[in-house]
Order: sequence, then structure tokens, then C-alpha cells
Amino acid sequence: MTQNRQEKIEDFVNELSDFARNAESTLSEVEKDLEGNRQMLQGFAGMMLTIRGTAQQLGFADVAHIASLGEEIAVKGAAAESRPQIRKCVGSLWDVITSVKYLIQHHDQETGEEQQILVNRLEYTLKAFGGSRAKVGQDDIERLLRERG
Amino acid sequence: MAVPNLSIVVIEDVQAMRFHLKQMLQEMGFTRIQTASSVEEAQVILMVEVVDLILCDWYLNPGSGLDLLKELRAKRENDGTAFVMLTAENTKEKVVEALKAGVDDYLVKPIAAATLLSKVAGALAKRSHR
Repeated sequence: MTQNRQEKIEDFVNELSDFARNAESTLSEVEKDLEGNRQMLQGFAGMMLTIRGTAQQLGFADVAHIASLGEEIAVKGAAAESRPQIRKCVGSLWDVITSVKYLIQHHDQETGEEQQILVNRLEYTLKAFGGSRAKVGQDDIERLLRERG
Repeated sequence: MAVPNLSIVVIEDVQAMRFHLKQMLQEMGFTRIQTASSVEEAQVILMVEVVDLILCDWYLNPGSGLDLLKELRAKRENDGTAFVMLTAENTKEKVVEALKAGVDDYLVKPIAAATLLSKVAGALAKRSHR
């Protein structure tokens, strides 16, 4: 028997919410010792990637975009050289996780101006840290596969 | 199109996604599908069976799809097993790493059923010629 779409979405939403809660716990641990625990931000980035991928599969574009920004900022935080830089990243990541949790639970509602302001702020922070890592699309991957042979 | 009686393992830590992928494959006509939520669970399956296709996510806390790929490619008896990475991970560095490790195809989420079928068929055909 195949699940109907609504049940499927509910399952995804419940599981995404679990990932978001785990990410929140990770961020709390990082805050306890910013310099000592900063490598945990790599784990946080991994959770954001999982949320992003799942949200993309579901068509939750807003969740995916903010999770993507969270992933990149977390990677920057893990590699940051100073406490103020780590602190800046962690501050942004709290915004990310709060929004992600809210948007997952309210995925069927339209997002407003506040969301766009948050996204702009996150993008600005990421830019200040040097921007996203180089990414490839499916076409690029196919080209790389052909070149590899 | 007739779907051959192939054995597939889907490795994905998000349960809902694992179910979704299995359902997509079943709707394509595949019947021999096993799932695993971790590298360890996948290793248990692969210890007793040489499968035709592995469809694997990258991040499988603990461990990764890349770890599993490298382990698989290190053993000659798995030369006939197609390995397709299906992941949201799309940094160039990671994609190149997977290609160097011997992945047969690399699919970035989200994935549509038609694309999945085409890519699965392609990966299986590629491996069968080795």
C-alpha cells in the first residue's frame, strides 16, 4: 500500500523536526565552549545538509534555502580563527535553526517580509566570511563523469 | 520497459526519504529492494550478498557513503555492483572525491522518478560491461 501524499509529508515533517532539534542541541553544546567545541559545527553543517536535501525533495524551498545558508555559515564557523568570528557564526546559526524549525512546522503557509530580512542578513554574514563553497549542478557532474570516463 | 530482477540496496539515514525512494523504485517495477539507515546496517547486508545496485546518501552519521564506496571498490567481488550516490552534497570538492573513489553516478537531490530510473539503468549498464 502506498502512503498518500499528506501522510508522506507528515512523516517527513516529523523527521525534519527531529533533525532540527538535534541541530539545536548541537548549537547549545558549541555555545558552552565556543573555541573548544567549534568542530561540532561540522556536525551541525551535516544536519543542515540533511534538512536541505529532504526539504528540496519535498519542495519546501524556503526551508532548503535557509538550511543551505546555515550549512555554509556552520562550515565557516568550524574553520573560524577567532572567538568573535565563531560567536558571529553561532549567533547567525541560532537565527537559522529558529527559522528552519518554524518553517518546517508551517510549511504550508506563505513566508513574509521578516523571512526575507533574515535571509538577507544571513547572506550578508556568509558573504563577509568569504561566501559559499564552490558547488556543482547536475550538468557539471555529468561533464565530470564523461571526462573521467 | 521490462525491469530486470535486480537486487538494490538503498542507504539513507532519513527514514521518510528511505521509504520514499523504496516506493519510487517499487513503482518502477523493482521488487528486490533492501534498505539501510547506516553504513553498519549496509555492511551487514553486503556481507551476505553481492547486490546489483547501491543507492546511497553521503552523510550517514556515523560514517559516510564515501567510506562505504571506498570499502566496496577495494574488493574485486564487488566489481559488478553499481554504486550511485544520491545526496544533497554538491560541493565540487566532495563530488570530485566521489568520482575518484569510483562512483558510477552522482545524483543531487531533489530527484524525480523519471531521472532516477534513467540513472539507475545507466549505472547498471555501465557496470555490466566491466
